[in-house]
Amino acid sequence: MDILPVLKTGKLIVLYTHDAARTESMTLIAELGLRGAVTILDGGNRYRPYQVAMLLRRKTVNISTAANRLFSRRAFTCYEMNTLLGSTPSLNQPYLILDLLNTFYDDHVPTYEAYRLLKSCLNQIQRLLLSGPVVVTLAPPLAEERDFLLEQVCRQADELIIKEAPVCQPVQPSLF
Amino acid sequence: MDEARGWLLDVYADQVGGIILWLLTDDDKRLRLRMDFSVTFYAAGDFSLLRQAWIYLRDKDVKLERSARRDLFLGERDVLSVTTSNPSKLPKLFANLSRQFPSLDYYDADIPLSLRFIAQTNTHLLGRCRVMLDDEWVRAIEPLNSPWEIDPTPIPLRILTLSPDSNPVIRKPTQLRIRYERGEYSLPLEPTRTFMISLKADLKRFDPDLILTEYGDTWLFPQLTVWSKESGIDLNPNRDQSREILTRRADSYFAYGQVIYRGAQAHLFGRWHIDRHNAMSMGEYGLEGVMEQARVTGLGVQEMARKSPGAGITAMQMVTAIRNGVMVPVQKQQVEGTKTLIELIRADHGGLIYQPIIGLHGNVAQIDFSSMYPAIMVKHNISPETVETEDAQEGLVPKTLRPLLEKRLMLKNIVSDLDPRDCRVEILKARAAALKWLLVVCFGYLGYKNARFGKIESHEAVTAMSRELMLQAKELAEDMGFTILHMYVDCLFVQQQGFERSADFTPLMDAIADKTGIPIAMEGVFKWVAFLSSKRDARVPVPNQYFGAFDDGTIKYRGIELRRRDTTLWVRKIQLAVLEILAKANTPRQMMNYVPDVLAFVEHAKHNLKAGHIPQEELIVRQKLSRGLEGYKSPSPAARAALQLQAIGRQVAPGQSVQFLFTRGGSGVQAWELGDALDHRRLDTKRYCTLLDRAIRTVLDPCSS
Repeated sequence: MDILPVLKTGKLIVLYTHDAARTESMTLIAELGLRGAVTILDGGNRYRPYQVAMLLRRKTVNISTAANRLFSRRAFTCYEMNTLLGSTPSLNQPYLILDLLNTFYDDHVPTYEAYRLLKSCLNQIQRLLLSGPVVVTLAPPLAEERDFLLEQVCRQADELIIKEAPVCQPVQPSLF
Repeated sequence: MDEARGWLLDVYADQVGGIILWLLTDDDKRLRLRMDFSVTFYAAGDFSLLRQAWIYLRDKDVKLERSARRDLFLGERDVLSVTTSNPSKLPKLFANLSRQFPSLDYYDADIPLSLRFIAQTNTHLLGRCRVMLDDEWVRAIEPLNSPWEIDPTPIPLRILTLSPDSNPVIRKPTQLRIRYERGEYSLPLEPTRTFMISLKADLKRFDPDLILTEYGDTWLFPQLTVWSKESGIDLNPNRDQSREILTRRADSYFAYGQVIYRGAQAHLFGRWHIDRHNAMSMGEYGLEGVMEQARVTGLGVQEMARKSPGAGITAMQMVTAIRNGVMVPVQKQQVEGTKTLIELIRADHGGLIYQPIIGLHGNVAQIDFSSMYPAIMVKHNISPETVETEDAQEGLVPKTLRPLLEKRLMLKNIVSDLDPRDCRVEILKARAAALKWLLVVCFGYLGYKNARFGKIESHEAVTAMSRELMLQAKELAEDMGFTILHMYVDCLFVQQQGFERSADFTPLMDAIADKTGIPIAMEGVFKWVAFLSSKRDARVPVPNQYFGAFDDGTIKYRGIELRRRDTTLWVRKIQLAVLEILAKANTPRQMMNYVPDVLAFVEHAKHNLKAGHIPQEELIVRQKLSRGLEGYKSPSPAARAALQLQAIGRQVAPGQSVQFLFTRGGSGVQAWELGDALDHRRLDTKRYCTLLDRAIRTVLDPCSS
């Protein structure tokens, strides 16, 4: 899943995997950090700073330069995600939004409210796209009723990358 | 005008406007009183939207004003204030308005009525007050005591206990046991008509303030409604006969890292109903504890019995906010500030853990900081709005916690001064434990997603401060010649050659308290304590996994099978008995002498199991379903048991516990709630013995190393 070559301003790339591209997104953050400033907005507590630090260390001895270019913020509710995106300045740098929909899957948030807030978030993402590339990672909802949120995001994607969850192979029980 | 004095039992909205109060008077009367009471909520945001909202509300029988109110983080905001004299209409009014204007910011719209009442009148639920009456109308009300009083006058409650003769999930009950004061008898459930007439007569005769039930939420009250329709006997268990039972549906939700199931609820008006099986912490601190929490939080007894302590802390913060003119947001909007990778790594830590030194140790003192996190919040003024600011006024969170912290410390001090046989000890302990739980959760609520006044930076500030204080304590201890064996968030295990009694450690504790400014208490001196290693790798220590015996013979254990909820009672009993055998040893060396006794005891227990002498209740395994049954690819034993229940038409929701026995053959389990008797020869004794062996190895391994 090599995203770097396709990253460019105005392009919204959506990665959809069963775990919101947990590994791939950390690799991408480290790679981008080596090249310049990155804004990471985490909606599902997916950001693994130690993992990113380890990935950086493999590539550079000057870890602090890269580490000081990775700017992150976390949102713990969909209201916070909306505020977070609304208060993110447009800068000429890539944006990574990790597990964007996680907080929107909360069944305590009414469906109409999740829809409204996501619409507002997508508007903010369009604003950010004017200044830099945006990568959004997504994971499937726990309940099918919230599938429409996925569709809402995917519809806006310029590039949609889907990685299916590995299927468990049946295990032959041992005879002895 | 008449005057009445007594205890305030209940406050709720009157359907026709104002509120209803229930007062238990000094002359043992229960008065239903009415009071004019207006409630206000606020909307803020874009002025053109506010104008539209104003137009929308103009003909809704509310008072509308433009005013300036304080948001904790944003300061003064111009708001549209909406006031209604009928609090019962507020939820619907707000729901409609917020649906119409979702992008406005709303404040004070979902504050429980009891909290508004408390904040406005300075009285408190379960507290004593004086009311001036004009017939049934309250013209004035004033408090006669404070919720922070250490020894409040006990409320002379009338309590009626109702419990079926069997768990309705397993077997259809045939009788209802009724207990009132010293009388106890059973009412047959059939014929229904006779039962309903008798129960109705009992309710009228006893007129209880509290109906304490078993399965009242999930079985008795829903069933009473059904029986009432069937038999034509109108039985309204409310004291306020103008109201019907308030029912709330069961639900599952995700909190504290696990799925939690909350059963359906039946709330009463004018009297309380508590279902022991649906009261979250009733087992932990009993009715006294629930009442203490209701007293200090302002949430009603029925609410507090069923809600988490977090709801209590939120309620207390709401009251503090109202009293200080701060609006309570419906949705928290504050988000984390930007951090670089390095800043995040530095900030995003929990409490300090200093790995234990694996093995057995003699004469070890455990000293704990008392309510460390709340004490840090209060002492260092850590609150979402004060963090990263200098010379801030006392924040909302410390302001809320200060009296709570002081009350708990005072209760603890009183308990420690009393003779353990004193009849007040248990009650005071229960009240202190109830307050402790409120303090325990207050830290988590600084960072909790649904907290009204939380901010992740304040959460991080508390843990950062705690780590600093623990390091200060460690350095002090080492300077005084102690060896630190283990540190875990707020407690230290220290040892020094020749230090054996509590008093030997007093200078250390005094020095730590002086240096850190946080009170520290002696948990006890272990004559021996074992810190355990990882089961996967014996070289790796596991924090907070230990067992030991204090010098008075009391056993303490953490993180072992005995503490786990999914351990069968049989295994727990034997592991505890084994620890009691080992506790006879006075030094680590002496422990080897007791190993033969332990092995003989365990063999005897296994023999009893195989011979079918163990009651099957002791072999029940309890496990929670972490998801819906359709979500399991390879079902766990609990899921397999739940599938058996589903096959007979019983639904099990995520977060609900499933009880089962391990059996030979078939699916390997039998759901306990199937109710079918199980031949003891079908029990999977081998599996139970494996579980026991694992538990015994946990406690014997340190002895042999």
